[in-house]
Amino acid sequence: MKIGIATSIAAALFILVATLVLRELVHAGMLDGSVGTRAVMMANGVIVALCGNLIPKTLAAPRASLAAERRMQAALRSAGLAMTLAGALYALLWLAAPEAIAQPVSLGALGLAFLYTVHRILRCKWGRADQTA
Amino acid sequence: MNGVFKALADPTRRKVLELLRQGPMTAGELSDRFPVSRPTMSAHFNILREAGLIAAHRDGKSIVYRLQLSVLEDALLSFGQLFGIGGTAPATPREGSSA
Repeated sequence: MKIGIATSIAAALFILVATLVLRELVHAGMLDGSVGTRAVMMANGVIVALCGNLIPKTLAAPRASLAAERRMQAALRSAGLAMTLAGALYALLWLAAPEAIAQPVSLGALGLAFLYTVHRILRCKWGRADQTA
Repeated sequence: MNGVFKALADPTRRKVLELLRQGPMTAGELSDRFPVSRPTMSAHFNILREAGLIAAHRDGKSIVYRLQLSVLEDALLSFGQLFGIGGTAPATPREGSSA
């Protein structure tokens, strides 16, 4: 299953419109400033989690060898799990944690998940043996 | 999502997904691991493919199946296996099979 361009554009437009609406609500005094920020950050976390959830489904063309195919699938599963968990943690932190904690911890979690994903992709590309993952 | 739940409700299909976690396998290799006929296994493969849980491609004369689970579907599979929803899969290979 692949995410189509139309779906991606629709998601981006939704984020932009939601951000604009929240900003206007804050300007109109109907919302506290931090509520708007939290809502946008939570939406970002949910989108990261949703995209991470679909990463293992985006299989490329079949690899020539079984070992390479296993490595690719293991890398996609690990990357998907890392990004899903990071996105969920990001959203939960912005939902419940104080802003002083939510900001550094959520960004740290997302950064770690991103670095782990890059690490898995590079390891898969360079063909390092990893049958257990 | 209904198709996913239907596919994961059957222990044989869950066992197929478990086997595919180890890597891609041909339809024959998978069928040899179960004491059911090939047409029955073919029906199971079709249900899994329609639910988008596995991907198939032709390699010569064989059809090779690959796992295509999202993180959530993977978690649902683990949950189903953990609690043995729908019973357990028949594990005895067919007579004469090498697996």
